[in-house]
Amino acid sequence: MPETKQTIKEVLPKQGLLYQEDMPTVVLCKPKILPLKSVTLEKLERMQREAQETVKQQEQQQQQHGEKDFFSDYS
Amino acid sequence: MDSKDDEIVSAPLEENDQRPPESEIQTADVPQAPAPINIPAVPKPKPKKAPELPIFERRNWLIHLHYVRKEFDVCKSIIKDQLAESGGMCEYAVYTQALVLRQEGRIQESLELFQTCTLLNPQSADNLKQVARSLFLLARHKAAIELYNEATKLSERDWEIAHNQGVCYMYLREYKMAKDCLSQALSFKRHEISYVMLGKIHLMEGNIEAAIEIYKQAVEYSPENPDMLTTLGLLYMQVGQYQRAFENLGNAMTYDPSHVKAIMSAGSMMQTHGDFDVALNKYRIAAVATPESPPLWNNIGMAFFGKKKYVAAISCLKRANYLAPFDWKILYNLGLVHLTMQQYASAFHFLSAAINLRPKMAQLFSLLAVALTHLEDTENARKAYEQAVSLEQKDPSMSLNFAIFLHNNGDKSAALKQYKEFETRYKIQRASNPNAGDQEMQEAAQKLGTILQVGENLVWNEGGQKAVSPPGNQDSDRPTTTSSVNVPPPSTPVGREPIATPIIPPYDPYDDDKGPSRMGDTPLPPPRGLTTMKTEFEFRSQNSDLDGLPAPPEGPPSYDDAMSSGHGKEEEAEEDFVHPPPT
Amino acid sequence: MDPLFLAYSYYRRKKYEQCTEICTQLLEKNPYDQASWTLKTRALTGQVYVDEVDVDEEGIAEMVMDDNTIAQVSRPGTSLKQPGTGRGAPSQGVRPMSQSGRPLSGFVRPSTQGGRPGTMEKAIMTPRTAHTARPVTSASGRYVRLGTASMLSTPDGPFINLARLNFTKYAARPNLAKALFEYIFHHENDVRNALELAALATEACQFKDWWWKVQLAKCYYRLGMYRDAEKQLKSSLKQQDHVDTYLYLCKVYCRLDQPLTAIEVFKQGLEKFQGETTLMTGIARIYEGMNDMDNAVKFYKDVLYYDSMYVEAIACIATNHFYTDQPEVALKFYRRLLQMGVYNAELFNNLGLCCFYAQQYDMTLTCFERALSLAEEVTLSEVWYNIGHVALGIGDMTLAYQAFRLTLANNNDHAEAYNNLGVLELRKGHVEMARAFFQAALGLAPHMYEPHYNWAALADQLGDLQSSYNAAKRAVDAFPNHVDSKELLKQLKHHFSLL
Repeated sequence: MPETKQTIKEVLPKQGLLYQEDMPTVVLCKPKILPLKSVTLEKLERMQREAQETVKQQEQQQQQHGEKDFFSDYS
Repeated sequence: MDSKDDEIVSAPLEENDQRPPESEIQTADVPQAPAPINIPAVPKPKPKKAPELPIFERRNWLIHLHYVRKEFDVCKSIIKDQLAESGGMCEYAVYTQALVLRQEGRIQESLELFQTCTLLNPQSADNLKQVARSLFLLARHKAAIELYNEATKLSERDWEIAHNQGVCYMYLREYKMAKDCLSQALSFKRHEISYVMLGKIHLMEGNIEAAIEIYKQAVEYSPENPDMLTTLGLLYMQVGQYQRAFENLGNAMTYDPSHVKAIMSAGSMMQTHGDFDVALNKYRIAAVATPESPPLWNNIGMAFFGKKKYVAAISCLKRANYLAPFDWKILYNLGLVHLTMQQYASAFHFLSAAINLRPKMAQLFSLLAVALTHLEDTENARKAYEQAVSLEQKDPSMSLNFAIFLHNNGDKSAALKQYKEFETRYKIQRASNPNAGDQEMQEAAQKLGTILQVGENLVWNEGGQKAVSPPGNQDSDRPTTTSSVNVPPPSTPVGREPIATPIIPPYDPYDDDKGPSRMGDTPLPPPRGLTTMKTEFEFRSQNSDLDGLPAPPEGPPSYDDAMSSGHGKEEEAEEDFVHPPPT
Repeated sequence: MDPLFLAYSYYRRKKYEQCTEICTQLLEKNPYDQASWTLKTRALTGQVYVDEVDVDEEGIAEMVMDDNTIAQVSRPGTSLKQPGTGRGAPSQGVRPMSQSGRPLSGFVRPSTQGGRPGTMEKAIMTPRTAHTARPVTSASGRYVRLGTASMLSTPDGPFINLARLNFTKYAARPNLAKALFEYIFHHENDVRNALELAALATEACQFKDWWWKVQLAKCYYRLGMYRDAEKQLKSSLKQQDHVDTYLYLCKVYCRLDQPLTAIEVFKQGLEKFQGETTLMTGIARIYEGMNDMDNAVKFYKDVLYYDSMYVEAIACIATNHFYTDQPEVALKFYRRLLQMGVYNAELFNNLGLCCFYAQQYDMTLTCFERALSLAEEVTLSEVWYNIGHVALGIGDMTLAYQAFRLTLANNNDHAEAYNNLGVLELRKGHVEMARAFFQAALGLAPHMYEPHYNWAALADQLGDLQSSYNAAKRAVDAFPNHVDSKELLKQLKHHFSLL
């Protein structure tokens, strides 16, 4: 064991790897930053969704009613 | 029925504008000089007065005219008329229609029409050749060769046939046949493209010397073709004849100052010699032409690195990495720059990504070890060093760093052993290249040597410049004063990468460092990707067993092979020292 | 408490339903109560009100059968249809493009969703890829859906029976007419009747009320009579300078594809209303649409000078920084949005991407985790897609492959994911798989150059020069400056013309 423990720094390469020429390669699609939604758009989408749900509910109700009517008529 | 005869008879009847016979049509593709201005007005008037002759060929001249002017729409409508009139029997019209279709990229339809032509006129070698060519364009190479054989019977000593046959054989990977055909073609007629193809085949076989010979002839034949000059330059680089390489690249740039390929390779040479500003200026021109080229941005980044502008370097390299995330060289460089900037976590990230992509690169492990050391993960750093020195048996700096690492961690005996290893490697390297090793490395080595109480009589004490210049080394163009700038010798990991061969860019870009061997990969991308994936898998599962693996196979054969036996034992290495480096 | 007062209070607190309820009760007691009638009208309008300046939907018919165009091919930089010069804009190889060849914006508004495709084919192809399908005409699009939405909320018939309304009577009473107009326009979505009312009303006040002129213009705009809209707006501006009027006028010019005129008008507006952020944003949007990022960012920065909380400006600037090699700066902007309280999957996704490319690895994972937990289906697929990129960045091909697969699981039409999977398959040497993926991608998104080029390069290697040629041609169409595609095409042309 050396009594005076000197730390020496590693030697890093002074030059990296270079390319001598360009090879055409396949290309990837790039990452996508997602656009934020404007208030108007969010409201529009919300309204649309709500409307769709209401329609669905109404249709269901109608169906149920229809079925009931159907049964009440023929039973 | 022979169309040529008919035509010559019929043409004078209608127009004094002589239709060239079919043999001339072959060359008609050359962009035509502007035709006489009054021509478009001609078609209607005269034939009306002359007795209407039911000759199918009477509008051939007009078809030809529009064809050579690339007025394909007009051309097609006339052909349609003429074919309707002749009941599809007009050979020339069918022929031209086929040519037009081919130019529009509709090869299959074009092939069918050429086949019709051969039925109409089985004696014409041209028709056969066109059918064969269509088959070739549709990648049906065997069928094409057969048809060319047929055609030879009709037309002997035909450059075109021989050349195309050669190319077909090349695609079928029958290189010997291909070479024969192409040489034959060249004996019939000297033509750039035959030279190019022949050179390409030599490269596919890994025979760089022969390829150089061919390209030399080609450049003699047409000295102003920047593409061929560049290729020749790249080949010279590959065999280490930098002076000649530079001459050719310089010539290429004289004829075309914005030739991107030439700029890239010349720039990389300048950069290797420390001319960063000149290289950057050149790259600037190239960056306009190819703004999305990852290798270009990589080189630009490393030029900034050479100028110690690290931030710019990182931003260029990161752009390169963004454009080509699979490229391990860029990741290596990013790791290196971050290490230099002492950003070890980032460096670790880039290097480990690179290792994921390429599990057997000693340089990567060596840098990774440095990053790990500074992240205070001693255990893994040691493992990484072990990987590095076992994967790469030539580079002295890795052993030196390992020794330093061991010393810093208080493992004196292991440090001493590694230091010995370093000395061995260093001597071998100096033997082939007296300028190898930079100042910093020498200082560090001396310092460590003193502490370890070894390092008696090392080569560098005599002064690097005086070392014996080894035979067969042609680095005559290398500047003699290299003390300030570190010129990496061709044997350092940097230069050791065989220069990717320029021709027929093989499809799989990620194998680009496999050297000449991959040239066989054209036309079909080989299942090589599969094997690399496998090794990646192996790497994961048995991480530590890599020590037992042989040296990486992908180096250029000769020198590495000669050296690889000489690792470990000093005596053996001394013997290797005597070995003349192969040419 | 007086019920009417309570109703007003509800209205002011935007509790429109309660407000309507009270008004209905009041009206049952006294059907001639004008105050509650007006209030109910306004409350019902308020339920479905969206800012008309922002709403803009162009149907296929309006787009392709546009009779307002003068020239088929416009000079570069003067039209929104041929987004052009790309000053200061990163190329398509760096920043993804939308179908219309415009860079993806950092912010979506109803009008930016589709973009304006150049040809009929593109217009018709659009619905296959865009998730909000383009309606055939705007008369069948969202406007109508909004109308039906409002109908749904009143199942026992409409509040006001338009057919029995005497417009002349109401037009003469400005206090009722304005509320009624808005009700007809927004709630009933009956542009024709709204127009009739507005025409009568503006006559009734002897063309002296600027407000009615603006409303007339709104109706004309909806009906596609842009020149009439322009006239009304200009005349209104003569009487009264108003920010909204400027905004409407510019909207008209944009629809007429005169972006430069629109910018002029915005600038006039800015002279009158200094520091008005909506006007500046308008300019910035137009520049962004023309792919002139230098100017767009300049104006967005101006916006931030006056209003440092303007989400759209921050988002657009951030996006631009991200795609111009400054993810660190982008990160700062997105962080600011987070501090401001924006909290959604998109933002966390962007934060994650910026963190990763700015080498803040510790944050990356947390951001994406948050994004995944907040996202709904379509957004979820995008988040996975970006996670795939992060996996590529750390060299973990398996994770990347899985992430792209998950992208497809959430959105089967994700062309980018197909393309990237193709590239990954090719790396493994699975040529046939790769081909299939590229083909899927190019079928789904013909506007992207990547799958075309990859397909072309692959076919070229396999010797199938015919397909290669066609694909390379499509790639060049999609991205005219792509060097590799052009090079490939040149080689192939050489092959074909060689005799």
